[in-house]
Amino acid sequence: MRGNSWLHRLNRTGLPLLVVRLVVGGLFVYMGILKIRDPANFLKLVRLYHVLPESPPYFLNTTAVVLPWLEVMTGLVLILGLWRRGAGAIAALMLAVFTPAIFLRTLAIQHETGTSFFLIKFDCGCGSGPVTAWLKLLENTGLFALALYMLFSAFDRFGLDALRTRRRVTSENEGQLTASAGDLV
Amino acid sequence: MNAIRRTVMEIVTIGVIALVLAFSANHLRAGAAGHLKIAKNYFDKTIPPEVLKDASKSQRSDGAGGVATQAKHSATGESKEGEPGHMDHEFQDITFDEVATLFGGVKADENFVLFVDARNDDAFRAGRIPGAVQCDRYNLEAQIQPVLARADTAGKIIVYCNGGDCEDSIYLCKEFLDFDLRYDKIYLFAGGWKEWTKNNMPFDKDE
Repeated sequence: MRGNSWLHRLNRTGLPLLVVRLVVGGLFVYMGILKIRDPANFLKLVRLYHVLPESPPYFLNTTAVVLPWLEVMTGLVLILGLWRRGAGAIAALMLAVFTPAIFLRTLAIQHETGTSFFLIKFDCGCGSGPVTAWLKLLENTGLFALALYMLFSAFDRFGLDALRTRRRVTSENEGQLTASAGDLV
Repeated sequence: MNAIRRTVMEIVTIGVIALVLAFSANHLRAGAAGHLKIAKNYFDKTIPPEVLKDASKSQRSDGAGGVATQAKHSATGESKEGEPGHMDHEFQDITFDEVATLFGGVKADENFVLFVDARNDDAFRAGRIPGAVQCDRYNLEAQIQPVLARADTAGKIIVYCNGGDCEDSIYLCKEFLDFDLRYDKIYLFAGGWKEWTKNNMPFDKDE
């Protein structure tokens, strides 16, 4: 988004980043809370992906305990606009792991049941119960793109990060002005 | 370079805060629903060989009245062996017809059969086999006592969960062995809640 296109101008306002932060952050908080409410169910669903070993049990159990809180924490800081790049990176990383895992599981179910790929519906452990797999994949791909946008966007005008930057710049400017005034005197 | 370092620091900070919150919340839930024991293998259904040996000994001494079946079962045949969700187990199966017959006789001797519901609070409250005791294996310490209290007098302990590919009842049977409940008393009703309601059987629920 270079130049002076309307898209670039809109991007420079910081509003698209604010909207994306609130939407993705809100979704992460909501999905995370649903998982925190029933960690046993989340544990059972994570296990079905075959990604983590059942024995020793530490990996599976720790994932079931920690992952929902990581989601909530990521969502919260995105909403607040704090540590935006770090949160964007975590969101992108989580989606980069979850999305292929859901895709592979959908293929496995298709192979097992012979159901058409577009008709497969299962509880992916995403927090919202059984979902149509291809729609979830589409949603996750979109969220991944938004997470990358949050990670790389340079136009952060709202939120705590922007506030901190403004304060730092202001105090630096004040320092420079005081120094310049001292030089003049 | 500075931006990368800052991003990594942010990732680490968010991760550490999430880790602390997660383990603190899990610790605070100890002894209640929603607590997970990090070191516990929740998916181990291996029966100690000595339990099976003892059970077959008691079957021989009891004659035909002892253990019904000890071979490996595939209770529903709905999914493949080796896949999570499959229903292979080494517990005694009990069919819906047998359960229904026993249920009919419960009124005559309500202590003889103990129905144990292995599902979570929401499912149990929404509907259960009349007289069933809830024992969610993820909240075992809080819910095992009523089962243990009646286990000695009960002739059959029938454990069920949702049915279909639900495995909670199998793992609960395994947990019962760890509490020294007798293997030959434990029966697995694999059809579970789905089969019970499909056959229009009566049920209790919380209003």
